[in-house]
Parts: sequence; C-alpha cells; structure tokens
Amino acid sequence: MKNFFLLSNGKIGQEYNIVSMCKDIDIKTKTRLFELGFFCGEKIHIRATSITGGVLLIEIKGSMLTIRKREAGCVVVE
Amino acid sequence: MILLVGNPNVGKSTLFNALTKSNEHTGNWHGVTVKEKEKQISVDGEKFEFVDLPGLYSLSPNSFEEEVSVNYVLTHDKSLIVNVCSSESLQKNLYLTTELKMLGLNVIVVINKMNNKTIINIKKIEEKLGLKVLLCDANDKKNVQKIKKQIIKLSKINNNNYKYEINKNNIELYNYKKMLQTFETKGNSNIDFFILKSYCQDKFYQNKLKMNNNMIKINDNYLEKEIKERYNYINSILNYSAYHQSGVVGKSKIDKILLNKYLCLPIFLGIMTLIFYLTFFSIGAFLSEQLRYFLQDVVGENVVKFLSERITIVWIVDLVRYGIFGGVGTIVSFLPQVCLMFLFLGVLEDCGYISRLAFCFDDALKKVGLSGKSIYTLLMGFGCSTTACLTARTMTDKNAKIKTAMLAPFMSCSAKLPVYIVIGGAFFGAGNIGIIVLLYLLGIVLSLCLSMFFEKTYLKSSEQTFIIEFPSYQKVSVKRIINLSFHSMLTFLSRVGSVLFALSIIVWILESFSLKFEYIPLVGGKSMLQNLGEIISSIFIPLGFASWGTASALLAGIVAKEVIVSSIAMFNNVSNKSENFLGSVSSSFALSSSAVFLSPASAISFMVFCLLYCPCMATISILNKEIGKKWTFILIIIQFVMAYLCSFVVYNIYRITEKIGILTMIVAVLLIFILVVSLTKFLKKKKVCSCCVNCKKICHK
Repeated sequence: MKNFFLLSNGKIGQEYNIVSMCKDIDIKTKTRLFELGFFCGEKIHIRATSITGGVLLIEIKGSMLTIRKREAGCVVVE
Repeated sequence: MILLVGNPNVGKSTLFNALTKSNEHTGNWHGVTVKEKEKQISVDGEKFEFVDLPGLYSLSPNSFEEEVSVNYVLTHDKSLIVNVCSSESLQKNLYLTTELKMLGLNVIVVINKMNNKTIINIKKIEEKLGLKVLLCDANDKKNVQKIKKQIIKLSKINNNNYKYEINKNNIELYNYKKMLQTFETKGNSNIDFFILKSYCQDKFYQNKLKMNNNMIKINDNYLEKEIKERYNYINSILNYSAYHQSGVVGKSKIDKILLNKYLCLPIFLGIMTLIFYLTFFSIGAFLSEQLRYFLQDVVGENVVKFLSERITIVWIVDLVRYGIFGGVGTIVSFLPQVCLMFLFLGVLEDCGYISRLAFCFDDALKKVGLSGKSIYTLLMGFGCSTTACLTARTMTDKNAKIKTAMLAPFMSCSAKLPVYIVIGGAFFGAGNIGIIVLLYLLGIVLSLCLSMFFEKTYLKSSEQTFIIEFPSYQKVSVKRIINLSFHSMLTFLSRVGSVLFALSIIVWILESFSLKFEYIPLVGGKSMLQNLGEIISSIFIPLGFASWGTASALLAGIVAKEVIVSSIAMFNNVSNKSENFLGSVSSSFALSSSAVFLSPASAISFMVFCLLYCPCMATISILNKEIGKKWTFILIIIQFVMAYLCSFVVYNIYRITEKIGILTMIVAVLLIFILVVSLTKFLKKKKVCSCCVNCKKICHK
C-alpha cells in the first residue's frame, strides 16, 4: 500500500512524487503553486529548512523554491 | 508603447537600462522592480516609449506589484510586448508567454542569460510557438543594439495571429460563458480570456466581470487541468526545439553553509559588522577626511580668501564660509560613506544572497505579521527610506504592506549616518562603532515591535504565501556596482545641490539675522532661529538636549536629516580647518555657551531621537501614496512618541550608569529582569483553580 502524507511532514534530502493538492487551500496560493509546476506526478526534493523549520527549500522543475510549511501542508506526496 | 514583461529576475530591468541608456535599479533578487519605469527614446526621428514592469509569473496577480504589471498589460495601448525570458528556466517563463499570446497582443520573446549550459533551436521554438523569438545578452552592448533595431521594427506589425476564443468543443467553458452573458461583458476585447480566468476562480477577473464564485457553480478541478494542458504544450515546444538546460537554477554548495540553522545568523551578523566597519571606520572614515580637507581647507579657504579681497559685505563672505562650505560642505564630506554603504548593499543584492536572507528570517518575521521579503525593506532602509517604502509592494496582503512600509523610517538610513559619525565620534571615539551598531539594532527592534503590536490589534495580516525562487549565485558585476555607487553619488549630490543647498542657506540666514534683519555677528542679539529654537527647546529638557541649536537642527531635519549635522556645525562655528574636525566639534559641544551643548548622555539621547523622531519629507510623500494619509499620520505620531520615550530612557539610564558604574547597572538590570519574569510566572500561577488544586489546570470560571 502506498504511503501518502503531506509535504510539510517530509524530511530534508528526500525526494517525493506529488499525488494531489488539498481542497482546503486559498485559490491564489493554489493557482501560484500550479503555475510553478506542482502537478500530480511531478518530482519534488526537500533541500533545506529555515532556522525553526517554518520554511522549506525545495527543488522542483529545475529550480529552487521556498515554500512555507502551511503551503507545503496542502501538497500530498508519496 | 513597448512593454517589457516577464518572470521576476530574468533581466528585464538590465535590458531596459541597455535599450534606453537608463540607470534603473537592478539586482539578482525576486522583487527588485516594484514600480513601472518609463522612458522615451528617439530612433530615426521616431519616438518610442519603453516601459519596464515588475515581474509576473502569469496574468493572475498575487501581490500589489504584480497587479501593477497585469493592469498595464490589460489596459494600456501598446504596440509591442517584449516578453523577456531566461534561458535557465524557459519552461516556467513560457507559461506567461502562452497567456500573453492568448490575448492576441503583438508579442515577441527575448531569451536572456544565454550561457554554455543551454542548448536551444530558436527557429523551431518560433515555429511551434507562433511568435518571433530573439536571443539576447543584456550585458552585451552590441547585442542589445541589434535587438533594439529588431524590436523597433517588430513593433510596427502584429506578429501574433492567434487570439483565444471559447468554442463549443469546450462544453464546460462554453456553458459558463452563456451564463455570464447577463453580466458586464460588452466592449471587452479580451472577454473570452477573462471568462477563462474567471472560471479558474481568479477573483481579479471575477471583479472585473463584476461577479463572484457564489453566483454560478464552478468545477474546482478545471484550474489544474487548464494549467497542466498549458505545460504539456510548453513541453512539446521545448522538446521539439531540443531545449536542454543542465543544472538546477539556484542550487549551490555554498548554501549548505549559508543556510545552516546554526551558522546563518552569525554569518549575516559578521557580514553586516564588516560592512559597518569598512563604511564608518577604515576606508569610509579615511576617504571622508580627505574629502573634507579638500572641500574646506583647499577649495573653501581659497574661495573665501578670494571673496574677502573683493567683497566688503561681511555677511556675504560669511554665508559662503559658514553657510555653503561649512554647511553643505559638511554634508558632502560624508559622500564616501554613503557611496560605500550603497556599494556594499549592491554587492549583497547582486550576488544572490538576499533571497537566502529572506529564507532564513521568514520564521521570525512571520511572527510579527510580515514575511521574509521584508528583509529587503530593512536592508534597503539602510540606504534610503524612500526607496525602502516602495519595496512593501511585494507583499501579498494589504495589512502586511502597510506594516512593511512602516518599517522603513525606523531604519538608520544614509542621511542619519552623519549624525552618528559626528555626534558619536565627538564623544566616544573608537567606541562609537558599538553605539552605531546598537542604534541600527534599536531601529530594527522597535520597528518589529510596532509591527507585532499592529499584528495583534488593527492590522492583522491574512496568511501570506512565501514562494520565491532562489537565483543562482553570480559573480558580482564590478561595472554594475560601480554604476550603482556612481548613481547613488549623483542622486546624493543632486539632493545636496537642490534641497540641501537651499535649506542650508535658509538655516544660515535664520541663524545669522535677527527679527529686524540685522546681521547678528555685527550688532549682537538673538537670531530668528534662536528665538524659535528657545520656544521649542523646553520640550527637550527631560531628554538632556534643551538648547536652541539642537531644537532648530531637529526642526530643519524634518525636511532632510542630512541638514542636522551641517546646522550644528554652523551654529557652533566649528572650525573650517578640519585637521581635527571631530575634535573641534567635541570641544564646541562642551561649551555651555554653545548653541548646541551636549554631554555624553545627552549625545546618545540626541542620536536616538534623530533615529526615530520623524520620516523626512520625501519618505512622507511616498508613504502617503503607498499606505494612505491616515496611516502616514499615525506613523508620524508614533515615531515622535517613541523617539521621546526612548531618548528619555536612554538619557536617564546613561546618567544613572555614570553615577553607579556599569557593573552595578548590569546587576540592577538583571535583578529587574528576574523580578519581572518571576512576577509574571506568579501571576499566571494564581489563575489555577482553587476548587480543584490537584488537577493543576487553569481555571476558566
């Protein structure tokens, strides 16, 4: 059985596949995430976290992006 | 009109500067351009207006600065849109291109930042995309001139044969369009695009169509489907054109150290300490002394000697000696330090470090209702408050924008540097660097406290996104940094030559002439400024600097902070011979008969007051436009009250420390701190319910 969880619970240095986006997310954030390539099947790599872990630095679609844990908590990965 | 549009940090402003021979601010950071910049140029007798817009990922704006760009694209009459893309991240950049194409506008694509890691077939991209594509290196003058000719030529004919239309094949959207016909759709040439965006739940377009989500049922999954199809189309273009980019943009081994949880803050503090040291001491102080010597001892003395031999009117010679060379000359002598500060900030911007700082500080700034992007406002505030206020546009929430704009006037900008260097240097010598660092920190801490207060009360922010792309580290462009310093020098000198020159002369006249317009050095008596200063000065008695000179200098400083030091030098008749300028200033402060009479305690109090009391006129004007009259007025009142309270506290703590000794003071502060913490814990304990002591829970009765 596949293990689905939220990107905000991911570990540094690990690679994940995006499964879907949660429904309870404001539309502006959702649109921006889609525009930056957060689709189902896309690979995402967590490279670092900020001092208290509130922000993730991720690698997606050939570039490095910052994303808050709140936003990462809207992305379902496996 | 030719618009330059594209993702953040692709080189739009660099290209704009090269095309129009301008010197607009550029940087290796997402959010440098926050305001449209326009310039008209003439080519073969024809006039063309180029407009550089803030960065956009798509035509769905997510912040105030993006709204500026989207409104420009949708409303202004333009002959051409130059969509600047970066070769490093073409896949993401082309998303915006597809949307611009859908509007049926005349669009060309300019691919910037070409390097040997990128392989691309331009003709195949053109063929698949259906738009003209040009390759460009915005830093190469010859290349830019060729591009310019092509842009001018392409602006005369529409190269785009496509315009988005909703047809019956797209059943969902077609039905939605039919339902919308009762709303405002007439006269809008891009109506199908607006309807598409509206169906994708974009409130910006729904507002334009004057409708909302509740009116008609929308398919929640349509947004993802639409964007995915767009990316499939982009991928097919890039595969067809054999596009290949090796490496990941923004990834670097240096980040393992710079972004390390335990090292990032010490590294940042170390960098800022080095910048302060080089600016205020070593290089900065040396260059400043040399310039002061040249202006006052070489040029000033000779000009005054020349005039004295030819003009018998004493006050004219004194105006030149004290008003112009003494006043304006004092301000100009700080030019090297101002330029150095801008130079170092430019290096931080150019190398790509600012994004990393934003990432590291987002956690802390989020707690006060801001975001990591506010770090840019803090850093820009060290240069100029006016520019820093504008960076608030990168915020996505209105309340966060107001709070961010309010940070800027609390920063120790370059105009306040002369006050710290002269007043602090006169009393504390080498120890002044510690005082200056504390003043910088005080400004930052107070601004963040204010932000926290507003976050808990009247300006609570909604949850903001913090999605920024890390740029790749790049070698600092020496040419750009020198250009930036030169440009800041010109801006400083033009300000000196206009506002500050006029203000220094006005201050000198008010200080040298009585109410009956008699020249004071000849007839004696009180000057106009002394009369006014004596009325105002009494309010500064609790702060320790209640002399007419300080009151008058602070009054003049409302217009421009640089004038504070020049006014003080003028009032105290500080020697023009600057063998030991700080020594002359220091001795003048010690004389109780001086217009500006200070002690070490009142000097610190005065510096704290100058840091906080009021934004300058230019900043007030920008704040008025960015956050409105109400919040600008509130900020001015808050700043004055904070300045007064902090100065009072600092003055009295210093005086008490002088009497009881620093060790005793530290012990006293620690004891007070322990007392406060214990009292707080005790009061919290008291809330435990007395009827169920054993459960040790907080009683809610």
